[in-house]
Amino acid sequence: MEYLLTTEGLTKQYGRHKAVNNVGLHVRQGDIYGLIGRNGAGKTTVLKMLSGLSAPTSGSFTLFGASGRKAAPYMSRIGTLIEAPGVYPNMSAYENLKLKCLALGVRKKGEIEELLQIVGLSDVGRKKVKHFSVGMKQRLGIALALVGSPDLVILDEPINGLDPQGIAEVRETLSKLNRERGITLIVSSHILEELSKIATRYGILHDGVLLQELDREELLAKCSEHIELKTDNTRAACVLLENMGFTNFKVIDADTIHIFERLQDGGEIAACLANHQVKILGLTVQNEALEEYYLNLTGGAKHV
Amino acid sequence: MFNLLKMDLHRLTRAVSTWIFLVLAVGLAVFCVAMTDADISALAAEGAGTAQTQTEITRNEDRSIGFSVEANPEWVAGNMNVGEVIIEEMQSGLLLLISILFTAVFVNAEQKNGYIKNIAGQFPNRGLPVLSKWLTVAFWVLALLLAFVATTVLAGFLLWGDRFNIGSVSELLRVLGVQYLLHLGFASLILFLCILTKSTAGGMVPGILVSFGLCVPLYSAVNKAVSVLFPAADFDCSRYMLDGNISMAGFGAPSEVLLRAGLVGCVFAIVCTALSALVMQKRDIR
Repeated sequence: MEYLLTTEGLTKQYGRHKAVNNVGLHVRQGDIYGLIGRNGAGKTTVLKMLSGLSAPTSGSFTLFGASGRKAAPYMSRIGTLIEAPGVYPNMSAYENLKLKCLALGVRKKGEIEELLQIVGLSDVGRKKVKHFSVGMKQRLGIALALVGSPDLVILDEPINGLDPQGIAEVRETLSKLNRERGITLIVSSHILEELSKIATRYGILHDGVLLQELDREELLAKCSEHIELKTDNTRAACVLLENMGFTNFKVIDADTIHIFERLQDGGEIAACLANHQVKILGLTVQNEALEEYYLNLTGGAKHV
Repeated sequence: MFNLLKMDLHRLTRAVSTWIFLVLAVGLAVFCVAMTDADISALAAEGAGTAQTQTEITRNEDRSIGFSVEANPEWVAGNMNVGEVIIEEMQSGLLLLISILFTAVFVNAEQKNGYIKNIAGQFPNRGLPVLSKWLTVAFWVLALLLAFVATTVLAGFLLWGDRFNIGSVSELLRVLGVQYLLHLGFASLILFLCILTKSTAGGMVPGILVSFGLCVPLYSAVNKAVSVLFPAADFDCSRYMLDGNISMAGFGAPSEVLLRAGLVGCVFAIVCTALSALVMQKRDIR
């Protein structure tokens, strides 16, 4: 498998605290890689190391097949938006983009106008950034990351501070960039449901450790659909389910059972329980959300 | 590197602070000329008998604290040399103050608003953005100096007419060159302090204090300590400091003083820029 970016034993230590511990990421060309983790999990630290803004304490990464010093020339092929967008508030969006174009030696005519159009800031390109809303600044940050047509774009919490419409727009923009320009994206977020709508591959980070890396298909399989049965007598309900031939079910708590097979048989289950005077409090088909999967993986809600 | 320089020069021309500080320098030049004219009038009213002779600053102990321009008593009746007036006003420390304030504001803007995150990672050597910023500041300090000189000359001719004569141009250029190196050395020191402390105030406050002359008592204490330890040594630490040399490298100062002052300016500029680049290279961008 050819990877665009891989990390080996990437570690960042501040004093005695390991903010990132032995992380090994594998990002393929064309991926939208979702880096998942709660606040303080180490997402930003990982992304800063990949962006060249921070040096790893130990470990290394391979970029476009080159590692160590040989990877340095390829750093200019990475666009970044780390934490809050870094912009000059007294300058316009156009001027901010122009500065980066000058720094990178981008001379393509119409580049700035195109970038403003991609992120939906064409109408306010000449307005001073200090008058921008949080969402507009965030979109300008994405435009800055896209200067010079990078092959890999690293976005740290790009939907932070955006309203639902803004989130949808950014999501659409990122998908479009990935689809039409073939840009590989690494996107971190703690808003897991949003990430799950665009990411093709996931890395789950917890307390600086990469717990799991999996493709969208693998995750979908793990976050499988199930029937959630709520009843006042789980013991009796389990016996009845076994009698009906169900084998793949799990008692979640005192009044909840998750059934992972024959999802179309909800009516039959209801009828059977009613016939045996087992009270049904609820019977719904559910999909385990990414968030739920993440919580289960990282040790439950106490971590959030 | 060339691209980074283009970016910084572009920002220089677009930043409001660039023009505000240049206008301030022009205003201060006019103010200094006006104050010198008022001093000359006062000296003329006091009469030549009571007029003090101007002291040439050759040691730390001769320096005063604060910003001041002294009028040469010879200017009351005789001709006024353009170079002498310009350098006298530059030595007041006001021009230095402006260059300190601008350098701190300009250099730290990129770190303060986080724009540095957009570019620092893209270059294998993070010292390059520092070098580019230093070159931009060097260009601005030169523009500041030229604006100050041009305004002083113009205001001087308007106020004093034919009495204000050009004199030796080569001598003027020589002293201006040395003063430029000293001001650039000081700007480099501010650049280093701003990068080290990641704060505008971190560079600005020490710079203001030094330009105000608050290090004079400190240098005196060091000189006394050295004279106690080595009674035979004729040591004056202000000779190796930027502020001390700005005071000493006046119009008509001996060649060895100008040479030493120029060297001090160059050493500060090189060492501070190299240290700034090193700090930037080694430290994580936050």
